[in-house]
Order: sequence, then structure tokens, then C-alpha cells
Amino acid sequence: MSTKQCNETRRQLDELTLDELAAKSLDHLATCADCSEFHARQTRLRQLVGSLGMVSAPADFDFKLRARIAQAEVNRGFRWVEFPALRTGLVSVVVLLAVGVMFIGFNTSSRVDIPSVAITDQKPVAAPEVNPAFLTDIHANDSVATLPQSIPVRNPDEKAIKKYGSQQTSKRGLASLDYSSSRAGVLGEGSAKDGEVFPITTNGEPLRISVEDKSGNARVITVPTVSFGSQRVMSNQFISKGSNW
Amino acid sequence: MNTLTTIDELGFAPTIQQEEIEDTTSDHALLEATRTGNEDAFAELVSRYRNQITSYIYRMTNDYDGAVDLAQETFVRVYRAADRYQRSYAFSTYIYRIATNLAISELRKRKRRKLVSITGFFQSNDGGEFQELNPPDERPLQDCELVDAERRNAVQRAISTLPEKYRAPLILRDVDGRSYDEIARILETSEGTVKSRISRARGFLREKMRAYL
Repeated sequence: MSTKQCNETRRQLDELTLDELAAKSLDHLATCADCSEFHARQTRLRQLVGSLGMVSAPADFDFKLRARIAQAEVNRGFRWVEFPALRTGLVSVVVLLAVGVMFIGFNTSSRVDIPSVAITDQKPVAAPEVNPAFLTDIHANDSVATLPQSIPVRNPDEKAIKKYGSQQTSKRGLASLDYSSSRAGVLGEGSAKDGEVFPITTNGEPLRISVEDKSGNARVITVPTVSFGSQRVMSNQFISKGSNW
Repeated sequence: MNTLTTIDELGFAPTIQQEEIEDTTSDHALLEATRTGNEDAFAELVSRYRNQITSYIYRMTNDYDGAVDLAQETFVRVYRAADRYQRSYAFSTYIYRIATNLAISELRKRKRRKLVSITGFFQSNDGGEFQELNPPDERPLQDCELVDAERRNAVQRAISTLPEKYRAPLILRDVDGRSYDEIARILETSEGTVKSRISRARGFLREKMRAYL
């Protein structure tokens, strides 16, 4: 008997009832011993599987189910999906807030504090005394400033030395200046024309400041010039907010 | 030659479901009533399907307590999703689909938990599924009832070793007696796939139950 017919008959035995088998397969089943054996085992197997039958739920199934549903309802609480309008509204508010925050943040970061150049007839407010030696040094050394000896130099290790009796922190202490109580010098003060804070002819070379550390090693700090149009002014970082030029 | 080929003809087939599922339309009506807050309607639905669902999940997981727990979870999900239920197919298909998904999830959880097994040496190479060795106990038993009980246990153990994709359609077909069409809708696959899987599942069982056939 052909293997092809055996396969077809067994496939039909798997899927169909005996009544639904094709006549050709029935004829084959009657004559093929292997397929008959297959059919017998298949029927026995289905009897065994079918004998498993139904398992009953426990008697307290309904009671426990009610308790479980009640507990699930309590745990579920507020469900956003049940209020689509409210959910949509909240999402819209959040999006608007996010856009607003982004807009404000962008404006803040992109704002440039352009110094207001005061062109006024009013007399400037009298400035406190400026150490003339400092300004003299600036002009005399062609924009190279050296720290005058009269300005107090505070050693950052003073406290440590007082406390421990010797220098125990850094080996090379750095000199620093305390300008908190004195007015900063203005280049060209007194020589500027009315309505003009900085003359157009201000030297374009960068400002260089020479300082010495405790060991006497000289250090030069160079401050580049910043130009706005035809005027050259100092960088914004040296201008305190709200200062009156 | 034994010519019995259908579950109904076998005489072992469960008959409870045939009596209980008489009218699927009334199932829809009960769920509609449940949606409006009628607790009695839901209780009626539970009474109709609790045994079927518990039994089905038990055959899938081979764990009665776990099956009861998952059956209750099935009804909880039906209750909570009553608002979103669509009448496009029978309620029995709907609830069996939920139960199937829960049972398969549970089987996968177990598989992940089962890191080391005494019988872990015995694995089949069909689809990489884990197969436990279930040698039939061939010692003679004196009592016919014990023999039947032992035979049923062997069948249940053999079924529980089937890969889950073969297990569900076999149980739905040979234990629950559902049609290929309904099984395909429950498992969300094609009827041809269902037939193929059932055929392969029977082939596996024939090998495992050789001593009893």
C-alpha cells in the first residue's frame, strides 16, 4: 500500500470522524494493517484523554471571587482611562507648561546684557578715591599693570600659619587682591569728552596684568579686549549689573 | 476494530458543558447586565463557566490550587473588562481566550523559575521545550479503580509534558470537545495550524502512553 495514501488516511483520522472519512480512506483503512493499528491506538488514546473529564471548582469559589473582585476594585482606585476628557485636558496642560518653560528658558539663555552707554548731561556721581599709583602704572607701562605695594596682599595660608604655627597647606601660596572696598579704576577717566565714556582711540591692545606670587615668580594675566561696533569696551564679566557708567 | 472516533461517542466526554452552554446569546445578555451593575447576572455567568474554566486551566497547569486561582483571575478580568467587551464572537471563546493566556503565562513563569530540576537531563529536541521523564509505573495493581486512577494520572502527566502550543489545542479538542473553528478563535490562529498542532500533540502522547495503548 502506498505511503501517500497511508499518510492521507491518518491525517483524516486525526481531523475527522469516521463518518466524515473519504470513501477512499475508508477502503484503505479496511485493507491496511498499519493504518488499522494506528486507528485503534488513536481511538484508545482519545478515550484515555477524554476520560480525564471535568474538574469541579471548590465550593467557596464564588465567595472568594466576590472578595477578590471587591479587593481589585479597591486596589484599582482612580483610573484615568475612564475619564478620557480629563486625561486629555491634563495632558494638554502639561504640554503647555512644558512649552512655556522651554520658551522662558530659551529667552533667558539667549539674552545678551548689552551695557548701556550713558550719554547724559548729568554730572557723574563722585567716585571714591582711587589709588593714583595704580592708574599711573597702567599708563606708564603701556597697559601693563603691576600690583602696587600699597594694596594689601592677603596670604591665603595666613590662617593655617596662625593656627598651626607653620605653613602646612600649599607649598606655593598665591597672592590675591581684595577690591571689595575700593572702586575699580576707569581707563581714560577725566580725559573723556562729554557723552563719551570710552574714547574711540582707546588702545586696542589687550590689558595685561602682572602679578607675583609669594616666591617672587611673575605671572602675567592677559585680558582680551571686546569691541562693540566702533567702541572697544571691557568684557561684560568685569561690569557689575546695574552699574552706572 | 474500534470505530469510536468522536468525543461524544467515547462515553468519557464531559457532559456538563453541553448542558451549561445552551445559549450564547444569554451569555451576552448576562454580560450586558453585568455592565450595568447587575451582580446577579455576573454570578450566573460564573456559575456557568467556573467548572469549565477551572478544569481547563487545571489540565493545562496540572496544579489544582493554581488552577482555581487562575480561574478566579479569569473572572475578575471578565468583570473588569465588561465595559470593553464586544459581541463579535461567543462569550465562551472570549473567556477561554483569557484563561488560555493566563495559563500559558503561568507555565512560562514556572519554566523561568525551574532553574534546576532533578529530571532536567531529559529534554526533547522538539521545539526546545522542557520535557520531564514520566516512565509509566508498570507494577500490577489489584483494584480496577486504582488502575483507572493511575491511568488518568499518567495521561495527565503526559499532557503536562507537552509543549504549551500543543497542549492547549489538544485539551480544548479532546478533553473539552470544542470544534476546530472555536479552538482557532480561542487561540487566535488558523484552523489549519490547530489541526496540525493537535495531530502532533497526539503523536507525542502516543509515544509517551505507549504502555497504556
